[in-house]
Amino acid sequence: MGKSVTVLHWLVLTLGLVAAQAEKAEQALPNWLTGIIAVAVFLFLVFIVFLVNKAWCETPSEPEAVPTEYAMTNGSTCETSLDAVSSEDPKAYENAIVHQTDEKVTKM
Amino acid sequence: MDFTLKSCMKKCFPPQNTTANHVTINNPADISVILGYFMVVIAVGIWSTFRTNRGTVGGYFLAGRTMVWWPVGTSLFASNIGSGHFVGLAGTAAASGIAVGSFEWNALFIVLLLGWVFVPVYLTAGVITMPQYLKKRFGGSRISLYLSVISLFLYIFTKISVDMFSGAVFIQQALGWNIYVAVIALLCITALYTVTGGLAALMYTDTVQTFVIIAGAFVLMGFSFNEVGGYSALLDKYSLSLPSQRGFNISEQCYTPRGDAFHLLRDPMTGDLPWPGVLFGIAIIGSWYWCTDQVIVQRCLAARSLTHVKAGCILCGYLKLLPMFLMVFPGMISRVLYPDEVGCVEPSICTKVCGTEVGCSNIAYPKLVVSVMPTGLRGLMLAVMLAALMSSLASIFNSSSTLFTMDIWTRIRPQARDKELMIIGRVWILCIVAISICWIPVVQAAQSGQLFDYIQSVTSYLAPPIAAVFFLAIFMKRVNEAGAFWGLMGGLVMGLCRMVPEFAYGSGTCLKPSNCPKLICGVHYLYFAVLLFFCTAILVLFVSYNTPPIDDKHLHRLVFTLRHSKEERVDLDWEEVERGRKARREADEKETVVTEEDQIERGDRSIMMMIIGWFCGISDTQAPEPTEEEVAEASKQLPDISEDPLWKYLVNANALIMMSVAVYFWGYYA
Repeated sequence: MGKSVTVLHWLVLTLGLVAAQAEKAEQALPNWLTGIIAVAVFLFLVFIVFLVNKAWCETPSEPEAVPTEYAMTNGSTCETSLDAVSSEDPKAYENAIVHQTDEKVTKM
Repeated sequence: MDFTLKSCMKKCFPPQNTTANHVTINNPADISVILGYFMVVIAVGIWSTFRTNRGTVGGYFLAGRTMVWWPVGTSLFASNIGSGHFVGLAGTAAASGIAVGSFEWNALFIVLLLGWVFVPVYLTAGVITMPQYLKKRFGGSRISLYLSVISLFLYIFTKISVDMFSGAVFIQQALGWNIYVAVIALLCITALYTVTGGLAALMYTDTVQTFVIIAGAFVLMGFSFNEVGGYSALLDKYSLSLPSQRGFNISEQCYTPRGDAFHLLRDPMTGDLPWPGVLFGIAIIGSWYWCTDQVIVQRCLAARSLTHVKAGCILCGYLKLLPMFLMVFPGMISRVLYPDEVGCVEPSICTKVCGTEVGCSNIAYPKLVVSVMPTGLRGLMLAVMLAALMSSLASIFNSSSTLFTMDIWTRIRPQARDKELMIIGRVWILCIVAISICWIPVVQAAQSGQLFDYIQSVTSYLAPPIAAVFFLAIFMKRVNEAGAFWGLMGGLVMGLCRMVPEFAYGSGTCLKPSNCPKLICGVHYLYFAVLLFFCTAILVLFVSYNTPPIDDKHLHRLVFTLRHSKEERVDLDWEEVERGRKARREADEKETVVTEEDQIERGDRSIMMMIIGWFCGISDTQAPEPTEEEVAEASKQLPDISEDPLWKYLVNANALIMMSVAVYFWGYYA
């Protein structure tokens, strides 16, 4: 639940806060209540996104709206968009950088 | 405001009579606190030099990739919060209310974007610098060269000079020293521990700095709220804080506090920070700053694993909740307590108070420190400012030397070995220090009383194209080199079309509005940022779709959708990398021939050279350039961004909690 949530939160924020602002002039709602309403709207939308993601994943046959250029390497699209765990390597990660260094050795 | 050299000289080097009656920090309590702070920072710096190997590129620039989550998080925070924040946030808050805090609270979400979307791609790509990423992603060298140059430009003119200026303002108010003396002293100390320690030292000392910053700022906040009578008293008194001397023909709106001072989201047409701009414009600028900029990304790349990156980002997010309470509210309190100085509007009075006639809101925070804090704690606050200043400056120095060394110098001399790169990196730091000192007068003259505005507006004219190109590079495979390059050029031209006239006509003040034509300067800079972002994106896509695409085989682990791919990648820049390797191998061979010859003649090296070598962490022995077989073997070990499922869910849940907290606060102050 990485990318799609963070992309969608802007929509959430905008909706929630513009709605809140509409009532700001007369202080009809106390501040803390506006805050809580905004959080409720946000969590609700996160929940919806989560459900949509789950529903999308359930159908392994081609999801219609996906442009073909998003290549599927490990299977379905939703896996890549859900930050799928790549199963092989649980051990500490290494990195192939051009100059291989040995971190623990201090050459003085 | 008139920007000719003569007026600049008059403004920039005024007679130093504004600091005659300031309290100097000359009592034992204050001095001992400051000395204690320096001891701790130097000790941590020295400890970290023994912990990691600084003599190699990986060790110096990336801390050996061994950092856990808490130095990552605190280093992100401390690198970001500079003295510019203390002076600029508080000053702009004093002038116009809490909306400036939205710059900080927007970052809560952007930092999650960094950890979840951008860093996984950077990690699998296996790059050290951002221009290097673009080089691998697009091929060719003009994009990475442009990015290096413009990043260095932006560092010098928006980050370094602003931070130095703010630190100097603070020292001038608190200690009464000449600005340039203060600046040079600060730079020497910062350069010292940057040059010696490398990123590891920085990240560990950043943790110390973060504690000092937060502790000191909390103390000041407590004293300020006490002085003004509490939070609700602030709400009431702020709108009533008018200066007593208003001049006879100054319109009322120039000195009256804004009606919407306590709202984050303001009117889209008449507000000084309109809410669509706040939500979207700041997001775009924030994406550039947090997700594509070398300073911040380098700290994430130094982490031990992706989970540590994410946890560090969450920690940084929580810490970013604090500046609103630690700097914005005290800034407003300062205006309530000292309306005649901080809220001065009459030009002659302002000049007497702080040396500039456009306004003195920048002295809001230093004034509080000098007036409200008891002895002993004043020394603590000076230590806090020094902490903020040194941590940001040191990070920027380190990252810009990374950029210069890895991207520009290796292009000039591909055969350079680690030792030469290290030396060049350190020499470059000294160069930018000199340039930044020369730029201070311009910052002082062009700031027009709103330091934060200056930074944000310059950034919003130059950064959105870069953010657009990075977003498209990561998410769309169809984008290719021609598209990205022409998009960047088009964006640069558009940004300059707005920036140059605005600086030429001057930004003007409430008393003397600038006569920049409405068509150019009438659009708020945040709206302009959004416009620039979308125009650049459209240009990039247009050019990309009309030119041949890049094959998938060049893009494995360089785009978001392919970040888990395990297939072999044909690097677009392999030619250049190969050339570099060949040159380094030849240099190696030449060196072995030479040393064999004069090994007999050479006595022991001079002691001075050895001391300098140890100090700078440069060792004599150089790891030989890997042979072709070793390179082939190394490239088979792919960088790993897998995560333990348990930690992954924990970290995701935590991120959700943090976002909810952020949304609550946004809703509360909207």
